[in-house]
Amino acid sequence: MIEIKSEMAATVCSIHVTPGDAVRSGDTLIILESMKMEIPVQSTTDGTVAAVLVEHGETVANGSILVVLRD
Amino acid sequence: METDGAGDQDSLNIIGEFQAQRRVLREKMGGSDRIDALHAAGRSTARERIDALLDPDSFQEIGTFASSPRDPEHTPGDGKICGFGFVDARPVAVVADDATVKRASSSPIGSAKVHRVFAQALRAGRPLVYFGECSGGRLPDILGATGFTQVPPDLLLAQRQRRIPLVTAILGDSFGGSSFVAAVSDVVVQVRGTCLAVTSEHVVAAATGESVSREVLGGVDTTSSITGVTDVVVDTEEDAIRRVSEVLSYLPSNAWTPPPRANGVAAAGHPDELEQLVPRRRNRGYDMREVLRRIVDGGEILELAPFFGRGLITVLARIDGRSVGILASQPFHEAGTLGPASCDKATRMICLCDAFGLPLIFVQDTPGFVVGSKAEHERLLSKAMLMQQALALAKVPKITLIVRKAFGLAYFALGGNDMGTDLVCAWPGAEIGFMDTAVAAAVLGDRANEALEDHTMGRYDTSLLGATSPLRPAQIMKVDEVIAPAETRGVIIRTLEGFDALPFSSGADRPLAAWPVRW
Repeated sequence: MIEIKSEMAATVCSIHVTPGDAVRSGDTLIILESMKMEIPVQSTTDGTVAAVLVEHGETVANGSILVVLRD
Repeated sequence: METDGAGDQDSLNIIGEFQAQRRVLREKMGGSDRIDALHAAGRSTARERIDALLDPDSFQEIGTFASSPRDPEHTPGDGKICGFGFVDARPVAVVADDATVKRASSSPIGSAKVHRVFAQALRAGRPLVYFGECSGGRLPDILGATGFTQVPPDLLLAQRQRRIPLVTAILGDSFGGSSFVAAVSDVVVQVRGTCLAVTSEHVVAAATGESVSREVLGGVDTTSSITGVTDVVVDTEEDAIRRVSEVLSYLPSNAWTPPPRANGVAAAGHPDELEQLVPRRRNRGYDMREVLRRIVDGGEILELAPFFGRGLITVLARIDGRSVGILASQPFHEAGTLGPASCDKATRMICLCDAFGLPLIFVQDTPGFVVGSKAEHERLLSKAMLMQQALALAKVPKITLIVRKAFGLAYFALGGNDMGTDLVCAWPGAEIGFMDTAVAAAVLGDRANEALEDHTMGRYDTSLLGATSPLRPAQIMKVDEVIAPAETRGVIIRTLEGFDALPFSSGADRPLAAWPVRW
């Protein structure tokens, strides 16, 4: 299991994957917004989306787990 | 003149025996079985690593015959292989931990060898390369007071003041000695799978009871993103050694010499692509490295600490053959903000470039310093001011380019106007101001009647956007020039050429050379 975390406090702007989706390293999973900037959160590996732990509009802290992937 | 035939024969025997003995020492090292074990693990011996780094046949070894008085038979070279040679025909000094002898542990004689090489590297003004995989202090040799007091940390390292470049590659698990050298090195390269830490998990468990893996203590994920000790992560020893050569190619041999000048080559892509690379939508992220590749020679950048303080990238590159250091916002990560880690990264880069005469180029697209409790608690204030002091003291040529956003103190921290920058230029679409206009509208909107908020935000947004045009500060000589994106490389080249008439200023005259390397 690979946890994809937020690198800063932010708001979830859009979610691009749902559980079961196959993703490749570098695919955009979620777009966060912070400091009036969109921050694409990319997959760090090839795998499958096991869980999406956030919702659109939700506020996340630095280090919050956003998506869980499995190989 | 009479000759003594028998004497000649004796002398030949003596020299022949000596050469045979030396060959055995150098070939067998800590034992063929240990060498075989290294090779079986896909690793190389200390001498093989040195040969891989140096120009062919250029290694001049010292300390071949050194050994530990406690156990001379089992300590050939006493765990450290040392000497001098050339990389790309430039002199260097090199130390390689020899894992086949007592796992390269620290001992009095081994330490004396290393000290000797440090001293001669400093005296001759040649860079020092350290291949580290020290297992820590040698026990029981240095357990007692007599042994322990013979292996102090090397004072010369602390006194280096960046007079010579110091580059360390961690090629095996490193504790104690080689970790200390790494932490005072200008650039640290680490092979994935190795550990770079003060102590091993065994010592940790014995001392505190904490159960922790080597990977967590000092694996590349820890050192490249949490502690920031490692600047370059590689997958193999060969890659590590190539990276060391590459780092050296950007740096002068010492602080009294200008950096090497290569033949200039065109940047990657076409200059007109620059404009397209930075999205017009002001909240859209992009990869700043693609912008830099269209400005620097051959599109080649050597990024340092890419996983640490990711909102800012620090790279070594060449422009028209000149080595330069670039500090650029990375809108792709952390919104391109400056935070505690990126401030430290910036300060390190400013000190490195200033000490070795590399011009500094700042490329801005930043919404400002990161805000919030985490950043404040991680000492953002102190770190931001440290960075500002470094910038203020840096004497090398400094050029600032604003490609999109330049908000708040971050604008000044990254070489804004009146910060001692030699040229501040901006692309026409840039925005400069106290804070992002959208944030400003929200802040000011709070004071307004809630019912009017939408209207108010719209009004502030519109008026503030016009107010942030770079033409405003250009009118009052706070921005030196507004330039088209495609003109960027040419402007940088001509600005740097403008400094050619000055005599080269020795690093000894630059206070930042003496600033700590890490803190």
